[in-house]
Amino acid sequence: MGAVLDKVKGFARGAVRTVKELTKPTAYKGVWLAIAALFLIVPFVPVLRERMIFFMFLLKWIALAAAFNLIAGYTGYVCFGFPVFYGMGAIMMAWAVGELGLHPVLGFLMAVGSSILMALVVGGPSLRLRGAYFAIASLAICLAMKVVVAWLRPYGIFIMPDPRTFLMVRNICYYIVALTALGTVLATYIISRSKLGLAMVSIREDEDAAETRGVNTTFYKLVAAILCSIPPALVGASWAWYTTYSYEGDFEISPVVTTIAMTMLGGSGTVLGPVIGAAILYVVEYFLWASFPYTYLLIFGAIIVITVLFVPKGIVGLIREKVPKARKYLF
Amino acid sequence: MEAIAIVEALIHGLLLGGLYGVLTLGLSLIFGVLDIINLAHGAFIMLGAYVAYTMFVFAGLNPLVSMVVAFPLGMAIGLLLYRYVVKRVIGAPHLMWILLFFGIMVFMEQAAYNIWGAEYKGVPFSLPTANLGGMAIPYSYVVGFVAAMGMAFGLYLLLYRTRIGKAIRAVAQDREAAALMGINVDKIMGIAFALGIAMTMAGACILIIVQPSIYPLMGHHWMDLAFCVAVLGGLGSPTGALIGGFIFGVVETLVLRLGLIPEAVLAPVVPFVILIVTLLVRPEGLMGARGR
Repeated sequence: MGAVLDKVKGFARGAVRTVKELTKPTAYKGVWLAIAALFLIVPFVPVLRERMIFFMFLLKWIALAAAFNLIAGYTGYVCFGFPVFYGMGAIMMAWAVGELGLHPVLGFLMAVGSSILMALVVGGPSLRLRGAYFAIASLAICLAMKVVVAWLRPYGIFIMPDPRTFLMVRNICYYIVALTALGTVLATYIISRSKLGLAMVSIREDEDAAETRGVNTTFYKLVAAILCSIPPALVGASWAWYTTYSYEGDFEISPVVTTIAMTMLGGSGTVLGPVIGAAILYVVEYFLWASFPYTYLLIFGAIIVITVLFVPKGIVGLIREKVPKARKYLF
Repeated sequence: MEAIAIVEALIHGLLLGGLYGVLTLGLSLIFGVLDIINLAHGAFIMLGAYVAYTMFVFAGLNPLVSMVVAFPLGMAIGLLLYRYVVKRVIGAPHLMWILLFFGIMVFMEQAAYNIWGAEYKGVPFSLPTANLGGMAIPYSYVVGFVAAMGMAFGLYLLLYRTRIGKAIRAVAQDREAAALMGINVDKIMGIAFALGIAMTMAGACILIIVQPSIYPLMGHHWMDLAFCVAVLGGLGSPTGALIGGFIFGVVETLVLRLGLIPEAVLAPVVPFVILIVTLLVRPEGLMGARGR
């Protein structure tokens, strides 16, 4: 236990240093901070407020892709059952607020707690498995949870909305999703510059070699699983609160495909990659969906295949390779 | 519960299990030789089923006869797919081919949705049910089982009695050593991939005799099942796939018929539980040689 505490202390010191560095103003950092600030003022600017749901979806995908990148991009473990964290967050929130009548804050705590518990279930025993086996095991856990939820609450759980506070709830949910997205990206930035990030990358590159050099791979894999489970839980919980409903469809496996596609398109294992990928794919999907309702998934599938075949390193990876100087701006 | 019902469930389980095993052979063969999991497996089952359906509608062909069409079609699709797409991701990180096959799956499902429509299709091909000393044995199960075993035997002959089969087994064992022995690894991998796809599509033709409901997303259910069977028997081992199929068929039928789970809604959880337990207790599966 003491060793873990030391690691946490070391990580915290490094994190403070990284954040201090980040706050030193330079031009390119200013651009990213301005974009981040743009997301935060959306509910106050009338033109943007009308398109709030667009921004909320965009931030949701950024949060999911960035969280997925934490485990898949850095440790190389493809957590296929990723939607289980989102679903856990949503259903626990709906259960706590809608059925038990608890305070929403408790709902969020329960959502995050149950999601971490799920990460221990997914991560604990099955991270012993390598590569494809882990992907299948986590997929099976997610699908099993979906069936169990469909059995426990066949009609989903409804949260009775209060018309007086509905708009306030919408704004709160927007901020929680926005802060989760920004926080996940910031966390990825801090981790990518810490010993934790190095340990995770060493697992991705060669797990046996990492273990031989004294990296406690089991510990770091578990940390990665827990870290990647928190953002989806927060997003899922706010989604359930905002839409006042949660059902077994929240455990649907297909969002993970979109998440993987976003991560890969932007560049897995980079900080800004998932953000850029999420922004591009979501905007493309948004317009394709409206104009080609019957064929947009067809086009989407083709985009995925083309990405894998021709841009395997993602946009950020490609730019870094062609223009090494860009490393400074696209981390 | 009467003894006769248990025997009936056992027989049904064995008959279905043979079919499950054959539906998994393609997945196992591709994993064994190429070391990638064909996540679009379910989509190919769907495609095979639609081929049988189309042949039935336009030519009035029996699904078993349309295997003759589905198999070469699968070979052609598999070879083209390998040559232009799959070849590029061999040896790449998992993320790459998982995403690639998912892209292929989404593409195929949506194409099917646009070509054949979203509603359930069926092949009105009904066989009588035999009465065997108080047990009901549907002939469709028997026909499906015999056809499935025929296909499995065909694969056995190919793998163990021909030169090309020997080469496929060699590549599965050790890619580099096989290349050093003068085997064209690239060609063999292409053939194995195409064979896996063709067997999956032909297996789907047998499947719709037993389970005649065809719709664009039908692949998901069968893919979950094939994963479970493949892991149970040991990924990459065709023999394991067959044995896994039998075990899975018997366990599933027994669990469902004897009411071992509280409610029917929970039935889909059976394969996942079997899958997770197998992965935790013996990740390499029953017949898997490589420890992971």
